Amino acid sequence: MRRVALGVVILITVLTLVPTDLAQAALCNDAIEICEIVNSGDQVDIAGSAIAPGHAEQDNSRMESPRSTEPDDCATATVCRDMPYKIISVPDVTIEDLASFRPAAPTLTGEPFGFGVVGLPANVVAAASEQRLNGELLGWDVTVRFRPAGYVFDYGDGTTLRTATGGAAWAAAGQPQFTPTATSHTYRARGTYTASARVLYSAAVDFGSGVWRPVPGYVTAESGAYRIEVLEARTALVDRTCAEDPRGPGC
Amino acid sequence: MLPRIVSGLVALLLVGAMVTGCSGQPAPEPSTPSAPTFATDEEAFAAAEETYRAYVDATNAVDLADPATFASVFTLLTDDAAADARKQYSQMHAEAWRLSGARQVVLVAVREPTSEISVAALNVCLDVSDVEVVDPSGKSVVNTNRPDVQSIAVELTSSAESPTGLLITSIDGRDGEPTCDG
Repeated sequence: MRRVALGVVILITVLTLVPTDLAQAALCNDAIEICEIVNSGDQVDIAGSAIAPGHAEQDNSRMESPRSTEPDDCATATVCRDMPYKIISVPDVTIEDLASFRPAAPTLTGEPFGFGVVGLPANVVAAASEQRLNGELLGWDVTVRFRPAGYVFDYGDGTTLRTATGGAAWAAAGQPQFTPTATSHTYRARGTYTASARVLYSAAVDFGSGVWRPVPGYVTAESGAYRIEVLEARTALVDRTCAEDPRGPGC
Repeated sequence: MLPRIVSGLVALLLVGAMVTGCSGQPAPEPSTPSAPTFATDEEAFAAAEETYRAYVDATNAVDLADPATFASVFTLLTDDAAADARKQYSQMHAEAWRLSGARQVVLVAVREPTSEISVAALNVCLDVSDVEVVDPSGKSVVNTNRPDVQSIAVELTSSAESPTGLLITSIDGRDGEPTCDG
């Protein structure tokens, strides 16, 4: 019975006294903390140790990194029973550990849908949004949050674009058709092109404490192919409309 | 027979003239995405430096007591990075901390981007020795191990919405050259 009560106390303290995540984010708070080396690749771990003292207050006098060091006699992810407070370590997580958590692929579309005109902007839009997936990671229940960090468009003609946004439809952007947008592309020659887009998601994990711990690196999700038939537009002066003369030039 | 052939040729020529010479269609533009691209690495570096210096200026203008001053910081960040910044500033505001002093950019150098979404990256030395953050009691909340000059890596991606054409995706620590010691 006593052990059960102890467990309850530990659980509560873990949930309430996990250090703030102010100190470790993708954006270094250079005024307060030590800007830590975070390789944007996928090899560097994040650490996370949750100090859970019985009734201790969190010391905000120094914004220490959450990488607290466990005493030698405390095993990882266990309770150190000989101390007046409890230390519980959540596991280190790398971007590779998130392989079983797959964010949804972005949708890719364009306008005019499936068509473009040589010399005029074709609007290509990728849509992705924040996602939260629940599961188990390294033996812990976890919620993984994926947030779109950037997009890489491949327009199928050898041109790529790396950008912060997935773009927007002309109407949504309040723009007329065939005007440049953040993700539009102007093809130089007629033909059929296959465009695609990759979304790079930043990831963060929450082991139930309510604290999001960023995971260095990105998880990539690729859209399906979007085929664009690019045509040449030619104008002609006519004296009657196509309705009036269906066999007229360009009709 | 001949007149019909001639008239047919004339008609063809007229249509041809209308289709080509009188079309008014502009010549095809270069195959360029609408988001800013940079002709040279030097242009990209210059835009990246301008963006980062604007970010530092914006952070120096922040008054933690006035959230309206945070906005100019967020506009230089991607949505993802801005979400982190909002959290940082909201928390500091909620704690009623006070920020004083100014950051100084000591060095900016080109860096090889490490992320696929990055258009440019910078190695930065940022002097924060003058920056102090205190809680309502006046006690410093700065990490005692914070270096006077931070060694920082900045990554940026393109954005049509940014005046410089770039937005910051991440700001992290770094090691290696150029060092920021002394």
